[in-house]
Amino acid sequence: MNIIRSRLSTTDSVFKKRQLHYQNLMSELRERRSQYGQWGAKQKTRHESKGKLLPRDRIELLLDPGSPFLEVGDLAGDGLYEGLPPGAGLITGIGQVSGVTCMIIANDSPVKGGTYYGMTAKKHVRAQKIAWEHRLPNITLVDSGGANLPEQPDIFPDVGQYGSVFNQIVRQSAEGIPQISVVHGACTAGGTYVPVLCDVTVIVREQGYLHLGGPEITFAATGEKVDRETLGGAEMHGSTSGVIDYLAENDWHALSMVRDIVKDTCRREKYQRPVESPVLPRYDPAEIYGIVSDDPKIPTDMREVLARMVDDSRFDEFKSNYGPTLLCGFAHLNGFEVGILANNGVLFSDSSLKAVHFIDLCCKRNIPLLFMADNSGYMVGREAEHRGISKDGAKMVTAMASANVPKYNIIVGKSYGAGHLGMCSRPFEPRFSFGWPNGKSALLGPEQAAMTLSMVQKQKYERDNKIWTEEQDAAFRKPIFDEFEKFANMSNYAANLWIDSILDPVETSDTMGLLLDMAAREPKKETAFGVLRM
Amino acid sequence: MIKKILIANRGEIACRIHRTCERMGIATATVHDPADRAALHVRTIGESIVSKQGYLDIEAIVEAAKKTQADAIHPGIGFLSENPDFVKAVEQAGMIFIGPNAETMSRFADKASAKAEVRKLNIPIIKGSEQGSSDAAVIEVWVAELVKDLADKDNLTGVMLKATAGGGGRGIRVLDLAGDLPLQIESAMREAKNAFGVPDLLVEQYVPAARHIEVQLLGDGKGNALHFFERECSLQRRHQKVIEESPAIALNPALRDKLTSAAIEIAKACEYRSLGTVEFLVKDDAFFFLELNPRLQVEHPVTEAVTGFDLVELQLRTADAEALSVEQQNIKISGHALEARVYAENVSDGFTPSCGIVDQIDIASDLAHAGGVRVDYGVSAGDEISPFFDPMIAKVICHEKDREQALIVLDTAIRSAVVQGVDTNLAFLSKLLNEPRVIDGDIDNSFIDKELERLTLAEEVDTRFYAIAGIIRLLSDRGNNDSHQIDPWSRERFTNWRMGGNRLDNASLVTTFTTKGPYVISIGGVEKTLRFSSMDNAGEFQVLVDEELHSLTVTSTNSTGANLTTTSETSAINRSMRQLDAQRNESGERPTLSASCLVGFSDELTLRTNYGVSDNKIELQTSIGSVTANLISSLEKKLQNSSNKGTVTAPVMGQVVKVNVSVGDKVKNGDLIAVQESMKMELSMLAPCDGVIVSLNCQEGDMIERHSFVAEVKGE
Repeated sequence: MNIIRSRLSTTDSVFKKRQLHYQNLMSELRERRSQYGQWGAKQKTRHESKGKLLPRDRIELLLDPGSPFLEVGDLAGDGLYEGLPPGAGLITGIGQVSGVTCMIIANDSPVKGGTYYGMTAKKHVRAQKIAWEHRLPNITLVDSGGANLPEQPDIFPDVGQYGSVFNQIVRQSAEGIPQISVVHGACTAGGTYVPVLCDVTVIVREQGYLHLGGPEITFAATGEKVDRETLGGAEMHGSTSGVIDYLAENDWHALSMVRDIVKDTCRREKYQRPVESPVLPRYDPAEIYGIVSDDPKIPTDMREVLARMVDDSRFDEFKSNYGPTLLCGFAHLNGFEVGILANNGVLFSDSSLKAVHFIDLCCKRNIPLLFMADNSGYMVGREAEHRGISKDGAKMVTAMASANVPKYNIIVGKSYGAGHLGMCSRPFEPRFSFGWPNGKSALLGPEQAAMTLSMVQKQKYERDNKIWTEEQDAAFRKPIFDEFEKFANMSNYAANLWIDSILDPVETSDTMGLLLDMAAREPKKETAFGVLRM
Repeated sequence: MIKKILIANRGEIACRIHRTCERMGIATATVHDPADRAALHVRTIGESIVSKQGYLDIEAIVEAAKKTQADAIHPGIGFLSENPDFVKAVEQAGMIFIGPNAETMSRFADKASAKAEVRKLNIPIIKGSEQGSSDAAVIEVWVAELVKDLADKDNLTGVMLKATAGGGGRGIRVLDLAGDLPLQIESAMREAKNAFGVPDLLVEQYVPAARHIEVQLLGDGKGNALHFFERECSLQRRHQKVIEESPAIALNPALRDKLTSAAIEIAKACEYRSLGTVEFLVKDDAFFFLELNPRLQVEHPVTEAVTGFDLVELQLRTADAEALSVEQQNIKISGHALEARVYAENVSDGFTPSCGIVDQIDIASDLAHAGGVRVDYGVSAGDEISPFFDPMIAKVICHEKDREQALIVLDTAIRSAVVQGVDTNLAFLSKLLNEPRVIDGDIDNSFIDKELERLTLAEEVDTRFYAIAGIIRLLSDRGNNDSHQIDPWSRERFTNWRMGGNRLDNASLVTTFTTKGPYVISIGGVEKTLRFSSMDNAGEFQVLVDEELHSLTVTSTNSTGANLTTTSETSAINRSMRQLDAQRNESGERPTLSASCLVGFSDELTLRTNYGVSDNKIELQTSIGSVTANLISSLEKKLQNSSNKGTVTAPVMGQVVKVNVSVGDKVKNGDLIAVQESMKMELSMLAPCDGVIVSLNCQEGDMIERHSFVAEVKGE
């Protein structure tokens, strides 16, 4: 029945060593996440003293009791801005409200008044895109001071920045994806448009304000003296301007109104794909910690990993003896069928061709694709080139990029160069992209990067008839190695939103279950492949 | 020969009479109020005629007896059981009335004339007016006379008003002599009129701290009478019996002889027929005649238990043969019996009736093997407690070798009782049975009233109950869609799932950045906020009750403990909840989910818990206690606080008998807004704050629902 039989020994020293290594990575990750909770006691107290709920509490109370909350981009901006905790002043995630799976976007107002930094804008746009792709109602809890002016280049001019937030509200609304917002605090200038563009907007009395120009700007521009409440208060917008649809007494009231609005106007689609009863893997997922290689030169046995991830440890492997450096096969994650492509070494021509065949099958059968990246790229060398590795690699990229089934990317180990791209990483717009704590991704590995650049340097020296000493070489390589090593780290990827978050291997199957549930409610979308170079 | 009896009553007593008839091979029929079309007695007896005006319509009931070809009518307790006109009507229709004749009944039905009868026999009676009156001025004069008389003898223990037509402890009011007398008299008269149809009141000395002891009689109507010893009913709350027992606790043989002889003397003097009870007030070695109840009593089962006779059977045989079938010497007492009356009432809310559907009721079924416990049910699961009838839902009687053992067994039965859907006095009863003075027998008829505040004080509830109520509610809230067994967003294992984990203990608090939880749960008026972790790999949840952390697992079982969990991770809680969701009634209420589960606390205890979950209530029964938890969602909680301040709502469902204000009136905090009557009790609705009445939503005579809007006071 295609059950993976594990050959793992959990008592041997390699397992123990790897396990210890991974546990250290996990505590680093926990430490990173804990920064959020430790940050800003003073700011949070000040916020609450105004009778407002903390943004995370708003989400907690908005969600159905016990609902999962799949946070996206929780590590965005981590370490990029002075004085900001991870998250870039915005909380985005998927949870259920009145039984409907929704995207919730909440300004984290105790963090610099909820103002938009570059990464804040990018994160907002990313959350909207997820909602758009899955047709999730957007619930935006607005409590933001607007744009952070010095961040202008990263928030104003380009696509994927703050302006795209407006664009996506409108385009989604036009497609009938509900756009609901609550004005919990002040919305000035551009920020006004976020709630006002939405389908339905609730404002909190004596707490929410909306104005294109605040009292100070109004005075400066026109000489008119006016207080905030008269200028853009909830009462005024509810009765005089008609800007706002519902008036709430406080945060709690506003959230209960949103719950009612969702209940009355939003619905959750039924499953469009068959779903099986979920079964736990036959082996303990926590053993993955001891399986993942702690040495970049030694590959991870991906079958042992899959045995601890997929339902019942059942992996229906496709062409298991052909192109063995890429495992392809069908499995279930929490009851949802998925086609898995997992690297088990370098990508060769045969493994690439196998991928093309497999992706085609999944598109025909309407099965989502999960790419688990752990490779150092496509094979190089005379033999590989003669066999047409670039042609076969291109076919794999074409098939992967063309596939219109939901696609997911997890960087479970190394993910370098074209191999990173071929495994459906961020540029190919998978539904979600995650990294495991040990994941590494870059143009090329730190060693290769240092070597390549030192060779260039050495050639330059040789052209000028200068001597390139061993010492010079070592001193030259060190910073390059360090920089690439640091760049490749998943925390760097998460901070820059090149991935949506860092996943604990143990929770990967559950995360995928939540995501595949959303995908399973979409109608099938046909795939037309780009030209496959034969 | 009686072949068929019409039982002109309802509830547990109708069912109890039917049981004896059935055993004796006598056919039965009954009558019902339109509201009782599907009531327990109708279902049990199986043949019933509707009486459009209810259980007090003599003509309709006699007609019903004819229609059902009954040759006798048993009136039961209350309703027409003490009405001489009814006796006459039955007998004129050629049927046997199972009870005393009309003449005896007339002589004893009225308290004033009963006293006059007994005075002739030189049996001690309580000082007071010799007759009743419906003239408030006259009553006021009588009160003044009695006060003076008693004060002269330095024996002013108190004065009370009694409805002449009252009975069963109703219609009695002890006067506050320092208070507004006319107001108290007016109110007592209104109550008497509403409850018994006549406003007439009697004035009597109030003898406090006395024992209530009564003697059970059976007479043949020809001057022969038997007694079945006594019952003690000293545990009363506002003259309503709560716990009764037999024999009396501390009755010396001489006094017992005096009481039983006096009772027999009365019976013989009036040639008493059928069952009856003579009630006495006993203070030290003195005793006073209170009244003769010409009918079966609610507490008759304790006498049946200790004497071994089925009193209803004897009553029927006597009615049939017009002769006594037992001899006095063969009537003996063995052991000790106690009875507790289980009511659907809100103890913490002044014992107001708790109306609604009884979702589940099971008292002492697991003690049945012991043989010493008898339960006479007045309702069964699915029945409604309405404001129109007595809210008694069951009587629990236990008979043991001595009082000490009987108290223990009764308490066990009470504590293990499962009643869901309505509030009950079960916890109050259990508390009472564990009172040292009750255990020692050191009680009198004012004990409960004096100790009431302490007895009804909300005990500090074990926070584990909050945790259990919370987790059961959370899991039942989770299973709200069709595919929840496969849908990860609804699956139990994904409850409160968060990336990176979601634990509440300090060690990993790092992943829980919230400070609020979804529920506020109130038990006995004490509110606590609940927060929940996700479920860990071992199926364990952490529940934070305010600041206190509990770790627990939940496994579904049936009520006997059999495992109901069919998959390793999904407890049956959310499954059954979903089925119930489809059965919401017209007003959108979800039926109560009644089920059982095993709750394991990580550090110690594992408890089987019977629970009932409805829209805003979680009822729990465990071997360490039972609680009713009220659920408020955190969102609603804040909303309630911000509005509602000056709103007056109805405490119970019932009729508005008085409206004391009009729109525009200025009121002070605590001023009377309106009076509502329910279950023959008057309940006052008071102004919640100083201010002006800005809105009024009821008139005298209106029937209003519990919690419905009555008036709004706008603060100034």
